[in-house]
Amino acid sequence: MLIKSLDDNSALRRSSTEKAPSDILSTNVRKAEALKPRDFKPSRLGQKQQDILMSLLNEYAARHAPDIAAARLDRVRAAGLGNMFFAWRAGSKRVSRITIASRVRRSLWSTTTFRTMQTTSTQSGEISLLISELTYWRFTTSKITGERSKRTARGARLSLFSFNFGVEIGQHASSWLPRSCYLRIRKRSETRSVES
Amino acid sequence: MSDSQLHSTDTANSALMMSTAADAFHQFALSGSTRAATFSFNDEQRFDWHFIPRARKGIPFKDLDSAQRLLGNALLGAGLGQRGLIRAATIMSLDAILREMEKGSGPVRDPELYFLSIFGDARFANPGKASGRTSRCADFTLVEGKTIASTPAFFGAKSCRSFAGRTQGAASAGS
Repeated sequence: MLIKSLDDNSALRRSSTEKAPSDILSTNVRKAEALKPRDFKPSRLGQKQQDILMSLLNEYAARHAPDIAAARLDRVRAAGLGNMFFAWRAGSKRVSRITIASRVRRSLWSTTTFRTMQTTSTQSGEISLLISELTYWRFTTSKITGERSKRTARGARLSLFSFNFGVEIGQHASSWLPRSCYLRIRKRSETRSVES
Repeated sequence: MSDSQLHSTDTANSALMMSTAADAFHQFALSGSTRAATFSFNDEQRFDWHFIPRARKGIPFKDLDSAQRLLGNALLGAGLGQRGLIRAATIMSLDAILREMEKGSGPVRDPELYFLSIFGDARFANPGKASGRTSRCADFTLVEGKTIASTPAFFGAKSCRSFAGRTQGAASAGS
């Protein structure tokens, strides 16, 4: 919200990067030091942006008990925005989610193999596909006795999924998918997991 | 530790609750198998802060009995707010989902492999995690039972969301 509220030519937006770093910048150093570069002083922001930034700090501080959070925020206010630096290292697009209702072929052996998919575009442009509800792979067999019975097996063959833009199997998927499975779609040339 | 690094005495309420909870947990630590959870205040372990998978000292919830776990949770709750406590518990629970997703291909995922450490005279509690990128760390320092420093603090989780099964709807929400 803060980044989006800025003009394209604002100093903070220009100093921001679309790609998040792969790790915490300060790593695990034992002695905490101020991060570099010190990109941007929030005191240069407008009142609206400053209010949004304080909301962001409130959200961060609110993890602690109310009196501890209040004490931390008091220190921030006492120091003043002029002594604060702020940097943003990630895209400004909010993660979007699209729900696709889909049905895959019916055959003598199969019913609907999955009902819904959800794609999540991440800040790096990656699209993650999560099959939310794989219906059981059902097929009907006739036993020698002629009695019909239904068998249920979890999963469906991946070969059924024939997306035009290509599917790359995530490291946790296999040719037979569990009920809840995680796939990754190669949107362009890069696919990587995103951690926070 | 300089005065500038410490919070004001306005945190006396939480400090008192935390000191009481830490004392209760500390007594269990001294009397039972949880002795490994206690260190001297100047122990180098106090500076061993990290969030990547690796061996960690302290006592994991996994090794606590039911009564000790309750005291451990009380200690955590003394320093965290409502949102922090919910988020911490959620992050811990997500290890079960990550374990199912990764099927052993990643680091050890265990919702109970979160560690508690007390440094000094029950004045420092450092819950952390032994392994996994899913991590949560909250540190609190009490001086003379009335002043608290609450850093470093880190809540994080590998991005994941469950869309099926009994964990449907659960999602990581680190910050």
